[in-house]
Amino acid sequence: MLARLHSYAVLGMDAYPVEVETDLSRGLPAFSIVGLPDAAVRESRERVRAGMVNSQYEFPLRRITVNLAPADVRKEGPSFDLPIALSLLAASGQLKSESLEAYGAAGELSLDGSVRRINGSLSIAEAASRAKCRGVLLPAANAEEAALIDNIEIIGVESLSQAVEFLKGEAAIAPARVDAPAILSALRSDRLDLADVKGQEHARRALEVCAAGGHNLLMTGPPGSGKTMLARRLPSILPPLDIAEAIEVTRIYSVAGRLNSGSSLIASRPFRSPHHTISHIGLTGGGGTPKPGEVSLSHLGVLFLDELPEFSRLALETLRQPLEDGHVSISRALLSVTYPARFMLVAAMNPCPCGHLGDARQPCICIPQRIASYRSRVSGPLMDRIDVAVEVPGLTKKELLSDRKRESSASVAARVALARKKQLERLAATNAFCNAQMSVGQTERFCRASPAGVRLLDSAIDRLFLSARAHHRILKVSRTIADLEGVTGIEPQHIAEAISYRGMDRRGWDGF
Amino acid sequence: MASDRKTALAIACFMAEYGWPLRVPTGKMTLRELWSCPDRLIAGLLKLPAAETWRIAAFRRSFSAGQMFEELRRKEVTLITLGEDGYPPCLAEIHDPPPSIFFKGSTDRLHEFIRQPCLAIVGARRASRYGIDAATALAGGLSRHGVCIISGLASGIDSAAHRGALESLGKTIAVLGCGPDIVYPVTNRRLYASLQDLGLVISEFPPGTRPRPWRFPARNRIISGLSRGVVVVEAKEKSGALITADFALDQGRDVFAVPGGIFSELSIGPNRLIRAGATIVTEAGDILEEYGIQSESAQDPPLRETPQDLDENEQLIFNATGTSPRHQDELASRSGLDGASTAAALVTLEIRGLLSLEQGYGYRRSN
Repeated sequence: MLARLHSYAVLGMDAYPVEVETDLSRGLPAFSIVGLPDAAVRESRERVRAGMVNSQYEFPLRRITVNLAPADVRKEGPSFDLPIALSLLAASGQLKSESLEAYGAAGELSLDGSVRRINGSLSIAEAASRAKCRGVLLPAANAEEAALIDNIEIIGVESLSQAVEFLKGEAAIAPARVDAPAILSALRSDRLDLADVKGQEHARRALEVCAAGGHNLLMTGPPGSGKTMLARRLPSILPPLDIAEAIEVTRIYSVAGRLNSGSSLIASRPFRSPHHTISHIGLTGGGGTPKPGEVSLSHLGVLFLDELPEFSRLALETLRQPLEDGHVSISRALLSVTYPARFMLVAAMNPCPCGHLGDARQPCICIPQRIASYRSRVSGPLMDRIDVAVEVPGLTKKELLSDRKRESSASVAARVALARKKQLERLAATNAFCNAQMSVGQTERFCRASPAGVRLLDSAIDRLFLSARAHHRILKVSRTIADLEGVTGIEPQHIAEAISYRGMDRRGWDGF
Repeated sequence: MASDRKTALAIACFMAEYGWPLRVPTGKMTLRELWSCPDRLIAGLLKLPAAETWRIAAFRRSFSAGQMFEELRRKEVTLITLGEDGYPPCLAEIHDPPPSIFFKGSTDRLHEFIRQPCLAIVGARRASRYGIDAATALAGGLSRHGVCIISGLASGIDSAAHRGALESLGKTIAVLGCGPDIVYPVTNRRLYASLQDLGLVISEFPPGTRPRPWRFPARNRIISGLSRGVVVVEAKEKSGALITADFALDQGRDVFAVPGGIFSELSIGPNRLIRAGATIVTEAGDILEEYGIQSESAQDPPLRETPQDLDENEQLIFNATGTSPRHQDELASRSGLDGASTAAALVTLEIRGLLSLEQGYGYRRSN
């Protein structure tokens, strides 16, 4: 007897169809799985046997061969348990073969026959929808997340017997439905508010400019000046995720196995702040079958690197590709996968090794050479990708104790949203959707400064020893500042403000 | 005469190979007489151990002056030998003047520079912010009054002195402990390039000589020899700068010292010099006065008058600044402007040269 069932395997961000074929033949009782299974798939024999028996089904005492086609791609993970059990039931006549045609399945079996959650169910649902499948049986715990994909029935099952009853037509299970907009607005709550940050007007403004244009930011300041506090509040002033973006982020988290049970949708922009001892693999992602790293987990959100110079040089170097391309490609001997990684980089560092350069409360004890070597750890290529750099000074006692009401995130976010809208309109015909993403050509086309602005920029480059590469960055940032103000032309005051965010191009940045 | 030059070049090349100290007995005989002595006598005349005789003999046989002159031409290095007209008179009068000096730049420039009062500013390589600022300010102040600043192109105080002079468009000479074509330390290559354009780079070692520890004390005697006085800015207990100060005393030059905090080990050198009688320097005027150079800046008001053609915001911001740096946020709250306008006004003022940005500290009025 032969039975067939569709299932799906996750590779990178996508899933591809896998056909689970089961054959029963005469011979000594045996159970073998072929089609390049890894250890977790081979062990599925034990789970399937126990799950079937404990669900009061008969486990056929015959020679069982399960093939996972295509047979030349490595299969891994426990998500084939449910399809293997179902096809085995069909092959042994406990379930009609025809009933397996319309639905695919994926899920891990527990020894008692219940179905456990798996990773990447959103990608599986998407692949099934692409394959024009009518529906997929998925663990009930994953149903809501997979239901984000339209035009496919997602049948959430709690146990093997429930799946069998559904396929036999004995019990009806309503396809999972999810009201994404409602979840999105319900979950979208930012507990952190910019109003909590005291002082730091310059840094707050820089944060607003970065949020408006999607620019990467570097904050330099003594310990305790509020760099981390500011960075954590950046997501609260960014435009909220729309549904497509939320699904994209959820998919990465689903593949990475990072979705909390009970939450089907990531509704707020990710904020990741890996510790500085992280390896480059941890940042970009990797492993035998590469899993997403921090750069992908912060896709469409914020990647915050505190103590930037303490990160290993290799880790910082690997940031270059994602910062440039918006995705990261991980190649291994057998396969190569690409994960999206379009994040805003926010970095923070002390101004010098002791941390007190420019601190009014405590003198700096570093010699210029050490400051130079400390700062040079974050060198050229990474600095080239940072548009805005601000100094965040230590707060005075007066500022700390002041209870002046600060502007809240909501009102800043409103300005940011307007500026983003202007950018989307302007960049509609291009593949960029915020100012930071403009290519050199686009910058030249869209960032034309007024004659007075051009004169100012020219004299700034001469007088302040700004590098040529700073030129384009300044134009992009001044475009954003003009957008925030709601004007079309780039005027001298916009250019001037943009220049004030280029401290790292001035003399003395390297300690001399 | 050509053969005198050849001799001097040969001796310089031998010194570069052999190292220092190598005393050339200039009083008793000319260089040419010395170099043409028989092999067995020359080691004694140069106060070298007799065992070195074979080395000199071998060197004299293999040395080719023509090749060396060709290299000088190729590397655009000028040679002036002791006894020639262009040789700096102040250097000729010291106890053991270098038989030849090599430099990048024209002879005219060398003459123009050493006609000015020359002052050396030396100090620690691993200097503090305070020392760097002091050296830059002194070099700037002195060179604005025509003083030529001499130093050794080392990192720290030396570089700051050269930079201070270059920034106020003054004259400055770097004396190297290696060939004049070699940048040491390499981190100073930009400074070296601007010294080539606007200043002078000189050395007693022929082009191609690598830096070696023993060459630097030798170099220090030239730094003090070229100068009327030596200013020590920061120096630890055992420092090359103090060697320079010792040379200066031997050569009859003045010694100045910039006082430092009593808890910093970088202040031990200058503070000890002060106790021993060195002149305290707290501003360029102290030195200018000593040499009777009219100090104009003393009559200048400490802060510039507010420039007239500023717009309203720029005026507000300019009034809020002072001589010590203030952070942008402080300036914003003092002037009452919002962050964006403050930033814009600051950059405009910075471009006009009215304010300068100090990394980590903020904006202050330029002096």
